[in-house]
Amino acid sequence: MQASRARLFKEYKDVQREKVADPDIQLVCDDANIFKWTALIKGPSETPYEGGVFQLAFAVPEQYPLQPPNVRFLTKIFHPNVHFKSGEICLDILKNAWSPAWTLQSVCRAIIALMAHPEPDSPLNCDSGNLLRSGDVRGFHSMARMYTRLAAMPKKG
Amino acid sequence: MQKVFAISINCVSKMEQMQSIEININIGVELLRGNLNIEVFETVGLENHIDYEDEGQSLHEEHQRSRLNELLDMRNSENSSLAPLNIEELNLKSREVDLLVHELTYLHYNFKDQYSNEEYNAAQEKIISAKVNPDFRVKTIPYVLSPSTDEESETCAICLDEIKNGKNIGSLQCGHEYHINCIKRWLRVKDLCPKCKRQCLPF
Ligand SMILES: [Zn+2]
Ligand SMILES: [Zn+2]
Repeated sequence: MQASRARLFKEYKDVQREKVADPDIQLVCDDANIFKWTALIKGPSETPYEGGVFQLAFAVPEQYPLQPPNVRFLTKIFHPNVHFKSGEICLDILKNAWSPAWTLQSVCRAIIALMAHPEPDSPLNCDSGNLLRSGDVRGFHSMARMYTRLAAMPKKG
Repeated sequence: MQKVFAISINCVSKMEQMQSIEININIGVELLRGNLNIEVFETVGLENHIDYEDEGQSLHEEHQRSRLNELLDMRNSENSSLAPLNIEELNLKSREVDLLVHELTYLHYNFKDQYSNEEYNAAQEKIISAKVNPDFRVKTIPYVLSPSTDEESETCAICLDEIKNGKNIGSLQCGHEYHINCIKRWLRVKDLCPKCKRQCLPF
């Protein structure tokens, strides 16, 4: 418990000091609870998520960093490895490949990398996975693009 | 049943020795609960074990041996069905005496009242045979936590605090360094180096 707080506080200070500044990631700690964080990440360029801003919710366990944080998308995203309803993310480093050397910030970077490089073979979003697996890249892109416009971009007007 | 290799870590100070005992206690608890099957107690690293002041060393050894004698007497009188063991026959290195004393003492004080006699005796025998049975000594675990000689200060990837020169640093075989306490906590979860994911234990 104490170790996780101390470590999160370190991460908090590093974020404040912009020691780990990344223009694509804005990581914010809940005012009242250091175990709750949210992040805004920019959709990577040359992907259907480009131009979108996606919100992630972190729930950090007391065993952190011995156990990974629980992360999910709050913003709707059409991606083979993200559950379309719950926002749950299928990413090995958040499960069995977790290592305490990851930080909340670097987890965000890993999620951005996942957005750019979907893994259609372990889909949480079957529709999206099937489109990619059947080779319908255009179909996948247009769906993903549509949801990026709908959910992750500021409304016009 | 989960297989476990009990690790005893080279200790660089008394404090760290206490922490390594703590690991053994946790293993002891699991053992008593029947969750673990202890296969190997590591006995490498004898040369690195705690250095007391010259005089203190022999006093310490003497004390530990008499303590082990008491513990074995207790065992021999409690388990009349077992062949009695005595410290001379066991022919233990001083490091092994240390470990046996610690583990049996902790077992005795912490668990004797909470478990049935059969469970307690079984755990006791497991600990003893792990220490004295040559078959258990065959395998050694090629990972060592040792004081660092590196002058540079950097960050421990586990707690993100600075690693300062000194004796609280543990480096793994791959060369990556962490605070000893930090890496011990992680290695209880997984036997991989947090940075390079190289395996630190052979299973
Ligand atoms: Zn540390
Ligand atoms: Zn390493």
